[in-house]
Amino acid sequence: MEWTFRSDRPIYAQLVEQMTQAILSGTFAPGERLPAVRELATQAGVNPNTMQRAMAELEQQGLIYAQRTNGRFVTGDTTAIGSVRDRVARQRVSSFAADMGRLGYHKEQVLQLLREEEVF
Amino acid sequence: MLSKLLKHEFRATARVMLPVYVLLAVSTGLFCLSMRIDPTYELRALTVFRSLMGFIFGVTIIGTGIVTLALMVYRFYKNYMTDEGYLMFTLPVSTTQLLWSKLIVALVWSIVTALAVMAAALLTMVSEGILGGLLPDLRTIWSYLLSQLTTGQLVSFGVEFMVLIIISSLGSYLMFYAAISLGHSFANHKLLLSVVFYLAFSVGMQTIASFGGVFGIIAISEDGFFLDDPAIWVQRLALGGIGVALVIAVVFYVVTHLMLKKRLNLQ
Amino acid sequence: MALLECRQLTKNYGGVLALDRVDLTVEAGRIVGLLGPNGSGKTTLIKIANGLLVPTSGTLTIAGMAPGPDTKAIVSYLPERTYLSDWMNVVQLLDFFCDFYPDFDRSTAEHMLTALEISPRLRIKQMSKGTREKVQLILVMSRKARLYLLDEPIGGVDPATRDYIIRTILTNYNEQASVVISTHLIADVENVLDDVIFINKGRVALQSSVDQIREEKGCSVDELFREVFRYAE
Repeated sequence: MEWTFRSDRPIYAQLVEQMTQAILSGTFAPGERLPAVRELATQAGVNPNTMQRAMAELEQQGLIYAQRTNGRFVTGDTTAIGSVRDRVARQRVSSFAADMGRLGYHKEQVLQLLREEEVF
Repeated sequence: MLSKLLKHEFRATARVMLPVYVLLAVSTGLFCLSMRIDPTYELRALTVFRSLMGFIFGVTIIGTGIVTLALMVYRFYKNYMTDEGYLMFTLPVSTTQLLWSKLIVALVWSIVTALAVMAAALLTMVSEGILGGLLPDLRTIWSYLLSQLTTGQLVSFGVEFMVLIIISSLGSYLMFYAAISLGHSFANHKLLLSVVFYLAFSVGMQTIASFGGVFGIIAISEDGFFLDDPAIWVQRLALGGIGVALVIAVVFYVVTHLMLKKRLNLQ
Repeated sequence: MALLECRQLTKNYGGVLALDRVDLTVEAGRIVGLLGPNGSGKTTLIKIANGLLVPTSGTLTIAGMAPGPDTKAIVSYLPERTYLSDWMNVVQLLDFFCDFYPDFDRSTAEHMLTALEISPRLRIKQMSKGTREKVQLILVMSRKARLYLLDEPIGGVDPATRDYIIRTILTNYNEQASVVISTHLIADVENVLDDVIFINKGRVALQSSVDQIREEKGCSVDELFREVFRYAE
């Protein structure tokens, strides 16, 4: 897994995003056991406390859960993952819409472009 | 921890001292050999060889002594005052242990060198046959001593003499250590100042020795001084000498310890 | 109890006020960056923590104790310079560290040395500068100390070694110990730091967590540092 970080935003927030992406894309499969915090932190090249904070955030969001002695796991609840995926998708769409709006395009033009570009 | 410091210090110094002792042994051996060759062969080369071996022998003897002293002083400087100090002074040991480890090792090598040099000299004398000639004289001196003193007194003099030698040696090394640690407590010109301090101390020692000599002469010229048994008089001298040497050693020890503990100034 | 604590720590030598009433705290389980320009007092602070200098006034305690043999047993120090005897070889150095430091983990050190292909018979004087620095780092990080004080650990090494060093620091992390990294190469270590302490002219200019700085100021620690320590126009 490739980790990239921007320097102007808190790392834990970026970790949350990148791990969410990994779970959504299936890099971390549902129900899969995650590596230990320390190991993940070393892989990502970040401070273990920061990784810990990101994990706590993901736990709160319901994307991962902790089993007392066994470590952390990606949730097996595909519905939960699905709703996060949906949320992220909508965020991307509104961000795209905002960008296109700034370029001066309105809805019909955007839809036309999408058809022409055959991106899907 | 002190034993570990000693172990490592011996390791570091043996690297130099052992080859030096080997050199001493070899030159002694060669010299003795050159003596043994039958002089009936009137070869010019033989005389030259003998003189050369003798010269080398002399140089090696002096060299061994110098190397011992120089190495011990250098070790203190290199290990404690240069970058290696960053390692030594962050070890979980006390300043006292650090100081004593260098002192004990210096003392041990000094004793070994003294014995080695004496052994070399003795061997040479045996080879040259001088010892045989000296032996009757030595016996006479010994008998005289035995007649004048009890065995107990002789033993105590021997012990006092040893103690004096040991304390003076420690004192000499401590004088170097004090000068080096004082010189290095300054920001600049550390080595220069170390040398200056050493010279100052030497002058100080000379001065004390002169005073000691003056007092000694005054004491001797006092009437009634010689009323005591000369043995007791020698005893007093020996103990006085030990006392003075002890005070000097302690003063230099305290100075060095203080400098290492409070004024360490590694760059 | 804080692992490292300074209270009104002041050091004056040769007429220079190297540290001026410094107050700071480092708790266990943190990786802290001690950041400041040259001559800011970083090295003086670290030397005092190691018992190599005595303060003029104020206190510095490590796990509640003043610097001495007891603190030296729990502090692992990596100085900027090579402090190893140049005639010793790797095996002798391992013996040395094993002898003096009960917390030294020889097998960890040997693994790291093998991983970096450093031969055990190699003497310090035969090594290149880079190899020497690696050996020193390995020896220091192979101790299970409570406080690691690293003075410019990534200064003179190539980027691959830099990554290796940072990875070693991370792999070594444990909640009972803390690492203080004194450096001016902030961008390289920023992701790894919990907290940073900006120090300038012997004073603490700032003590904060990296996350806080990024959240509140919207810039990296590196950028903030440049701003704070910008030379006057």
